[in-house]
Amino acid sequence: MSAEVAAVEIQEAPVAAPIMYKVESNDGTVFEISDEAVKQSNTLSNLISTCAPEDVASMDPIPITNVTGNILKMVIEWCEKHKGEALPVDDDSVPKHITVPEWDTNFLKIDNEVLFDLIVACNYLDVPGLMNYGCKMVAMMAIGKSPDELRIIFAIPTDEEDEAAERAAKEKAEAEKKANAEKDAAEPSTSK
Amino acid sequence: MAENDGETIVPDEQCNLTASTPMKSSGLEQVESPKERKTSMVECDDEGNPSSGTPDESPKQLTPHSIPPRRRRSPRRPEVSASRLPLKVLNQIFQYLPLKDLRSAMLTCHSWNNALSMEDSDIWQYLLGKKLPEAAVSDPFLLAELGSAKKKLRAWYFAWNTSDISRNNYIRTNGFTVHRQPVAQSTDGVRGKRGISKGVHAFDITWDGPLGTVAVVGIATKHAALHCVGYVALLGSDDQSWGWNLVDNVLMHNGAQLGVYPKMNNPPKYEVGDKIRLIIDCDTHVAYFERNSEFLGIAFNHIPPLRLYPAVCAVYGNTEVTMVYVGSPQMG
Repeated sequence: MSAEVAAVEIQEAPVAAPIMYKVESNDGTVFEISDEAVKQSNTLSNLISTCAPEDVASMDPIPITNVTGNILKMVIEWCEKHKGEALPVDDDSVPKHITVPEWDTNFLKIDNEVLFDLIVACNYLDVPGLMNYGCKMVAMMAIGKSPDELRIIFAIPTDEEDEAAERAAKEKAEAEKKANAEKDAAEPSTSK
Repeated sequence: MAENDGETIVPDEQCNLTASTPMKSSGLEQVESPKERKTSMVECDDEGNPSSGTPDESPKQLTPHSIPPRRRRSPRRPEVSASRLPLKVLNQIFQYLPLKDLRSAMLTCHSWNNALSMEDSDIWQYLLGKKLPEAAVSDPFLLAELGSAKKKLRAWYFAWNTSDISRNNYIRTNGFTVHRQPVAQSTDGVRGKRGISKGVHAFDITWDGPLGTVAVVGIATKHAALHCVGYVALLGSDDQSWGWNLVDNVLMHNGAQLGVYPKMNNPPKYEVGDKIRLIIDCDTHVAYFERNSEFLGIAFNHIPPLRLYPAVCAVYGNTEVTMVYVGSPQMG
């Protein structure tokens, strides 16, 4: 009887205690990600592949210096949701074809700027599953649109708008320079 | 008389010049419509992203997602935005787009145009592998002069038209070579898939197999006939086509001979297998030929501003003609 109880306890131990890794975003926020979820990111998998499991608890967080906290949080949330899944394998259809599951569709209903930040973070962290879904969502916005419509959807300025912005910035800089010059001219007369 | 020695069948003296094209007009119109839309793509490529290429904006709903407001952003801040995505990311997004949408993407902004202008990137390699027949991809000589996947893909869209061809011709599995079957007392032609009406365009044409008594290369509108009874220089026999008969080096248009071409004494005869480059300059309304990269002089001028297709007509059984579009020729 006591032997059976001991056996059960031993069997339950691995399931109850996943290894949690700590990662830190560029604004200092620390997140935890499980060892199964880490496998969705090739970059993170390579970083932890040489760490002994018993040393994980005392390690400093892994610094991710070019991803912000809210984006890193989303990536980790996605990885936790899809932990245990195989990494996607590209088929060779043209145009490329992929079906985005419903959960991921809702997950990616975010502001376009956040979506682009998320895609760039996936590119750096090498999360192919989320990368495919994110790029697919962007492509679906673009299908069937004219160039003018694409500029509106993705907030892309035209060359004329770019020139106008540069001209405004230049005028602003010149105005500041002029104000500083006047200020410098005023001071010598005061000292005199 | 000497010209007939090579013929197993003596041609009749009477010719039926009024033979109509076997294509139905409704079929032609259907074929024409998608070409109209695709032509602007190549014209944009040739002209280097002209501003006039922007299509009209439609009032339909733009996107199921909310459109972010167009906030002015300082040009100095390196924020991530659609126009500043890394190249690798852009390529992944573009892999989901069909060809027509890739054209819209090329016209949207500079960075997208730069990404899609890399003519051997994965996107064009994918499309090339899927669109071109295996026989064309594996032929080491057919498209050798085209240096990039995108150019080869473009040549495919200009190749001989399998649905705008005489019934006695068929197009081989490589998609670029037309084969004339051995049918007596028949002249048989073929047109390219896409016509041109702006810019400067070059087509490399190679005649393999004997010429017979008629072997004409030239240009035609979509109304020019592609078949008639007898052995006739059909291309150039009316006001819808212009042709150069390689057998006697004579230029033809509207049924009239315009003289020998190249304009010299005893111009050399065409050697079977030589490459002829047909160049159509729609902006100055002239057409001319080069042979093995040698300029031969202006062939046709005062060409009306119509949509023109490369075309050939042949009479010899089992002769073959290959046509590859090469885009704008390099001047100088």
